Amino acid sequence: MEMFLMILGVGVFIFGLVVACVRFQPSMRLESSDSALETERARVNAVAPTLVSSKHAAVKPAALPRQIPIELLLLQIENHVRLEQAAAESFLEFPTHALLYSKTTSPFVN
Amino acid sequence: MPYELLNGLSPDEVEQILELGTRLIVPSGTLLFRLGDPADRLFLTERGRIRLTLPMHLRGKEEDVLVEERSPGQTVGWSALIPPYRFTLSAAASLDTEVIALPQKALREYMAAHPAVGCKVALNLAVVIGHRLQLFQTMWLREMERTVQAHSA
Repeated sequence: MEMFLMILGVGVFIFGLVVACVRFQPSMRLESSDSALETERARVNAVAPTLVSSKHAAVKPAALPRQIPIELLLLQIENHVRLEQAAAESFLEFPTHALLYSKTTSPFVN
Repeated sequence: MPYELLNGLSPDEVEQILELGTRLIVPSGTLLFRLGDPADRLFLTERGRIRLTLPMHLRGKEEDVLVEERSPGQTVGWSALIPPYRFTLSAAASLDTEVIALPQKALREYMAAHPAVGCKVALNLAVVIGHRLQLFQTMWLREMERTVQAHSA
């Protein structure tokens, strides 16, 4: 009888072990597939960073405005100041609402 | 030469004031004074042209930007008669220019000794300053209107 109970205990233990292995196998497979996905994502990022990274996506040299030479910029400002002064002088000589808000021809602001 | 600062004075009075000063030739491109300098002289433009500028930061550099130009007969450097007696702009000749430099101390002493003349000069100065104020408040308003329109667009 004692012998029979011992063999039964060992049989239940082995059955439990088998059940545990069968239950844990899918989750282990999922973990390994996650790490594979991460590896693949890193590989894609390395190959085509502009497609997935906003940090790189903003850099488009062709879209940057071309800077005009500072001498030309100063001339444009000077021209604008002269035109605006002339407009202000006209308003002071004959103050009207229309002259105060007359549209400037200055290319600096148009 | 009709000087705006000496408007309404008799020829004798004009002569007396001009005798206080010194004629200066300012070659084109030469600086007459710089913003912040002590305003110890006032200038009457005789010929040529003076550029009045303010420093503006453009692309990390300080550049002198034109604010106003002064022609023959006009006054430059009225800060010499207004506290704190420091120039609030920089001035340089844009053409070969001739000015009469009136020392602040001598001019103030003359105005104190001749109150009637001093009163006329002070009123003329008020006209010069008032005109600049009106000019710049008009320019400021126009720029503000454009700024507001740009922000609303």
